[in-house]
Amino acid sequence: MLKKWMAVTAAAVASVGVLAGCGSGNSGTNDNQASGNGQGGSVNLTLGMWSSSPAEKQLVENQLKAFEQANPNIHVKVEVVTGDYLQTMQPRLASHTAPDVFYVDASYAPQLESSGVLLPLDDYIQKDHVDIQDFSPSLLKAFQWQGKTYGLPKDANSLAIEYNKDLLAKAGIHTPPATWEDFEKDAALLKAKGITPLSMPIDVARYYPVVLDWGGSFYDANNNKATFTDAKNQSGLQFFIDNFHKGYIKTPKDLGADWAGPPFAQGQVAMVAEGAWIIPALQQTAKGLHYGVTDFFTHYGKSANMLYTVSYSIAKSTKHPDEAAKLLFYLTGKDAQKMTAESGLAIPSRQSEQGDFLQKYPDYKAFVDGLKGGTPYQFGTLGQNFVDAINKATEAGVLQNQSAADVLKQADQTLQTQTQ
Amino acid sequence: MSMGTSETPTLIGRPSVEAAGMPPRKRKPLGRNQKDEALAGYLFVLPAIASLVVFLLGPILVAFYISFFNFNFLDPENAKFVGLANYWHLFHDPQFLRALWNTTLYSLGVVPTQTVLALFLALIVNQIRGKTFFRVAYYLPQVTSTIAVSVMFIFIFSQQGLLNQFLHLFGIQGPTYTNDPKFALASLMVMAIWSTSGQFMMIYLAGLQDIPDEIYEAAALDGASGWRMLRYITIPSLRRVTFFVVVMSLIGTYQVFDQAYVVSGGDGGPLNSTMTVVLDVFTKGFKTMQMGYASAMAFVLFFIILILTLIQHYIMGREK
Repeated sequence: MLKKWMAVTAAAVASVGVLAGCGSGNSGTNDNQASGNGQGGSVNLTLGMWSSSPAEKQLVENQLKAFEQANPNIHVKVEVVTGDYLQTMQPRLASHTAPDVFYVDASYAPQLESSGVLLPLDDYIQKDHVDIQDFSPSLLKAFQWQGKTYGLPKDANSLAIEYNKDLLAKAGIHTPPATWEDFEKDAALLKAKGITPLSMPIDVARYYPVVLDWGGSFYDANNNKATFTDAKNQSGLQFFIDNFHKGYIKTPKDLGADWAGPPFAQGQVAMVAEGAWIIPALQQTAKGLHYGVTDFFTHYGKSANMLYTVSYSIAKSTKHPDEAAKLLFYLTGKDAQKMTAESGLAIPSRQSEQGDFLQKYPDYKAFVDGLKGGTPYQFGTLGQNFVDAINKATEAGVLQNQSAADVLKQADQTLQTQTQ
Repeated sequence: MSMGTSETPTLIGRPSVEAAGMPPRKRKPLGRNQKDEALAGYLFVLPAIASLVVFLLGPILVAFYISFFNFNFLDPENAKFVGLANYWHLFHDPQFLRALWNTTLYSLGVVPTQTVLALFLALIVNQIRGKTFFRVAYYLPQVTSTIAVSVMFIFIFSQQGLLNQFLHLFGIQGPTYTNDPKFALASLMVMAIWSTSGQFMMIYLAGLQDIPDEIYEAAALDGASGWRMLRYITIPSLRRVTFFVVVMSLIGTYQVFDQAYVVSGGDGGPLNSTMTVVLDVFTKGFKTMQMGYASAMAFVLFFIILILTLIQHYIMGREK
């Protein structure tokens, strides 16, 4: 009954919308004349996002323009959150005034999903026959919680090794190391020449692949539990800590920067392990730098990686779930993903678009490769407490020369005191 | 994260009125009956009271209420009453205890230095030529955004920063101060002293101008000069101002947040050495979504500040 009524209004609205759209030549001017889907009006949706650059906002606006052309009865207003995104979203979600569709970072997605503020999408996915098999599986999984899907990944990033060709050549290295074992050999050569081999922050978001490659795991996804004290975790973490003590790895802070981009751009360090976000930064700040990008180091055939992904999700409080789902499926659909691919801002989450993306941006091959063996950067509902606990313990391990076993024990204790 | 400094002007006036010893003015009835007048008065303050109740008192009460719950902002329906468990847990939480310790150290470092420095600056600025220029110069850091100040100090304290370049002249090789657990908190203290001394200097200046000249003249006739005048006249006369400065400074330091947030990138590092109570409250409330626990923390902080203020009030009051 409701659906039929909506279909009728939608048809009526569509014709009006097209006329209005033609007349004014600008779909934005029509917004205020009709609100809600009553009285033969159109539906207004809000899209919440952060914007890491003006180019990102432009991309989303272009995607929305295309969406509004295809769906003239739906108008979308963009709301860019400046400042702390999660802090802004929490009270709005709690008070049911959140944007209808909005960005959700994988790192805190489980917390939002488990507290029931996001709309489960499964019914809508079925109804609209959305091809979700096309998404890189690990990316899709990042937004599923207890068997339900709460968001679709809009794009992704992974870690790769960026290397300074000139600095490696100075130490007589002509191909960048591919494994952690090669890295240790080359690092010794670089260090002998007084060059810092690698810069990485002491952050589980960056070094977790090392732990995974050595057969460890900090987190049990099935039970949503931290497993720091598992003995298998020690060797990988010890390897990471030892490399700091050998002087093979230095933190960006040691080199006087917030992240590894600036020291790499200034030629202070031979290699860094960053995501594709470093490329635009290097294009701006290091035009003459001879650098290459290669796959993240492996360990005896194991090539774990860390995935950073963001979804579009729908607030449970939305008044227009059908239209919001339509918008979400468009923004994560092939057409919009193609626009993402062409912009080069991030790697499209759909496998079918990753090929096009690579053709246009061959430099990003290592990042796309990284998606395959990657684990999303998220630790269930333990979230920030988990990350803080292990990061602080590891930092203490590196600065105060503690063993990996002590670090892991400390992380476990801290996490227990921080969660109730 | 207000530093509680905007209300200073209303409070500076007080010591002057009482110092001058004016009797409270008697209110003359204006012909209308007093009830009407009172009603009009209340009507005038109604907007202010309403907004205070809605935006200040209400949230405080709600925060107090949820501090007894295991409360997640996003899922208020499933809040679980836990009694005093949040408060009990606080005193077994090493991170909170560390934050409290850091904040106390910070306060002990900043408040006395800042108060002495502010008084010193005020005494100088009160006497030299070009008063206005120096007043502006010393007050400038206060109007600069804390974030900008923090970023500037990060440059000064970095490995190749200004401070290390200077020390290099004497052959000393310093670390990245904000990234060294031994120096990070001290860097925050220096930053705070630099940026807020000017504000308290202004308050002392106002206080200095309220001391009647006759007292100094009388003292001069009695042969007092220089140091003795300062010790026996200026400082005792400024007692109420000092009380005010110390209390405001204490409240400000116990609520330190912005500098620690910027310098550590929000995590209180290195090794929790810049974790402050308010930063911990922020992390628990908005990052890990334990709003009930964060509220309990905020109330503990409130009681600490309240008790410290009462102690000072008692000490200052006793002298009178």
